[in-house]
Amino acid sequence: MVEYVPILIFLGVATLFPVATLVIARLLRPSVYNKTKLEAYECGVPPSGEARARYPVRFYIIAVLFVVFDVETIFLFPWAVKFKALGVFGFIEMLVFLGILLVGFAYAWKKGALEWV
Amino acid sequence: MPVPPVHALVFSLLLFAVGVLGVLTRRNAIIILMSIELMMNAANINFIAFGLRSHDLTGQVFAVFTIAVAAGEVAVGLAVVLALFRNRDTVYVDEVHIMKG
Amino acid sequence: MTSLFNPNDVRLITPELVLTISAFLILGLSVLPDLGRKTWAPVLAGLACVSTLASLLSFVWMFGLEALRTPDMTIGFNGMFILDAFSIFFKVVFLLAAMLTILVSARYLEVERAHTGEYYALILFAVVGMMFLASAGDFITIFVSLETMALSFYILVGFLKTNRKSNEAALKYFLLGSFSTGIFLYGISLVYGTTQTTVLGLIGISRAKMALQSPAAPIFVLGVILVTVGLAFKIAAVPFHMWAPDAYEGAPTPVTAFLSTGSKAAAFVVLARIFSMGFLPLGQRWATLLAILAVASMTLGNVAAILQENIKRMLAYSSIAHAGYVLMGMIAVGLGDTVETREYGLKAVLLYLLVYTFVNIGAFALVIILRREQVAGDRVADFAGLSRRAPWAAFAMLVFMLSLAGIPATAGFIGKWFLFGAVVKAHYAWLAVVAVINSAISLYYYARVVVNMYMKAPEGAARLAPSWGQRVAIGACIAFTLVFGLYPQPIIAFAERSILALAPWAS
Repeated sequence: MVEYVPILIFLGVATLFPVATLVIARLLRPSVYNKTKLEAYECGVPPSGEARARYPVRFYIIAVLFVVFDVETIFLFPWAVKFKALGVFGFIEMLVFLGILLVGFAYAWKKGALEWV
Repeated sequence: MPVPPVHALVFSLLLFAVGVLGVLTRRNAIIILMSIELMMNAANINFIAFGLRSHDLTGQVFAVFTIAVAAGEVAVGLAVVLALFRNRDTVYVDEVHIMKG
Repeated sequence: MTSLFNPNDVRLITPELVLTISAFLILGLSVLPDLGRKTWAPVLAGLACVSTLASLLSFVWMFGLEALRTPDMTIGFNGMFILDAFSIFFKVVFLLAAMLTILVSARYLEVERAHTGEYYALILFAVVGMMFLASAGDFITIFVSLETMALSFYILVGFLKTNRKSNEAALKYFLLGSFSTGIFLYGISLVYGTTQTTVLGLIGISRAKMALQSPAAPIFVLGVILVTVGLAFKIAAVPFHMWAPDAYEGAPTPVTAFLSTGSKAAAFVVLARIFSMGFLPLGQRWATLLAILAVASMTLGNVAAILQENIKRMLAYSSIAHAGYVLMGMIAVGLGDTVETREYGLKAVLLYLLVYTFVNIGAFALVIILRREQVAGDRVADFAGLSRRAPWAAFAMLVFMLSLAGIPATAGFIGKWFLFGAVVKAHYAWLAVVAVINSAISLYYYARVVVNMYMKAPEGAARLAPSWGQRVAIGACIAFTLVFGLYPQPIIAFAERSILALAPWAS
């Protein structure tokens, strides 16, 4: 259990620090509220429209593509770590894998999923 | 000292239970999707913890495959929800009921 | 240390490689600049059909006809891939199902205005998943190929993007399907934790027994139960069937046909493989579990089917009931006290799934040809007076309905005969009694379709215009149902040769 003591101390410090900062700030700052202060901050200009506006569907399509291509690279990490041990076989295997991904990418590109319209 | 497998098992069981509960009680399709991800990640924790205990790499390999497959599932799921949203303007599963019986 | 890769292993997956490459080819061709959709899509359909045929023939080319008759068990990729008679049998079933599906699809998709190459690519990807599933000897391969199949099906069910029913079906199928995947995966993780291996053969030989005696036994049993639940979702057994009626009704009809045959058979392959290779020492326990599922599926499926007005929904409930019948074969595998009984059970499962594939695709093909512009054609009432409008189509539907009900002289009877025999041999005769009563109930709603076709006046006079592909598919299904209904020896022998080699400790 002794190994856990540093973690415990770390956990204590990590909890205390933000709590302490918030409390001290609360004690020190003047609390004056007005309309302008309570407004949502939008880069300094007066806010316009609703905060819950709908995003264009485009974002979702890009998100879907990102999720797939981003996570599939997970297979590259173990290969990179053991690159020398896996040798030519591993290299060809990876080329095949990337080739398959490339077909998917080319398909998405051709279909216009990457275009912003 | 590594984390004992029993702790990992209890944690993953809780995570799995949270996931199942989420699927059964939530109405928003996206949140159900997230709950399913929790279930799969609970399994991942098991794979890695058990693999570590028996010094077997299979567990980690399985986890890598699960992560990749789960990503594919999310992509398909989002696409399905998106198609529905375009036609019906809702992501709430209890509002989707033309078919019954 | 075993070598990483044996170039000879590639030979074993030739049929799958053929399909994968042609699927990519079709995917690539479907985005080429339009030569006019009208001329392009049928070409891709033809290509897809040819590639399934090529894949089928590559078995013969790779291993020779003689080897196909008595294939040895070949293990490749360090135990992950098993090529044996059992897997070849199912691969043949999957390829035939895919071929029939592709044949009936083209005209339907034109009517729905969704005739694109991607459809065929997805069908082929689903088949690749199923074929790897049939050969999977390791939980990793099982999981990945199960998902390859399932993901393709999620998209196929929602393929009619602008159709609200199709959207809804896809959402329900996706959410419940991936829920079941999560449960299945967690079950696998517990089994891995208690047996320390994902190789099915290794679990079976000694570790399942060991795991049962260790203090971790409850975890192992929980794992087995979760794996069973996950697979019960996939075969749509009650109480895990909620997705099936909606998914079957909303999906494009050819996809429904493929889903109810290919996907169900694929789930049974995994069930048979996992339970008879990995978990056989627990036979008594999981057989009891499956018996509950079987009784519930048969009863609820048949009773609910009576109430349906939509024929796709009715066939969905009938398909739930049929999953219950097939489970009886697996129960005999778990309970049998001799190797012979266990093998008899497996043989019955194989035979029934082969027959069911042809009969069910045939029945759905009839629903497909009723679909025309402005007419959905999926109500039972749409069959009214079909015997006068199209006598041949009515006769075909009659044969398929009788076969689904299990009337003698059709292939469906042969399948049921063996399943009922299997549970009797395993001393579970009461289950056979339940199944016979259920068959009697099912006769009612199958007969309702027949009565509609032969006794009622037609609602419209519109003629049916099936494409030649649909004619060929329906013809093949009828020929199969009648020929093997009267002369079943060849398919019985095929199933007998193809059962999974059970280890000697099975008895």
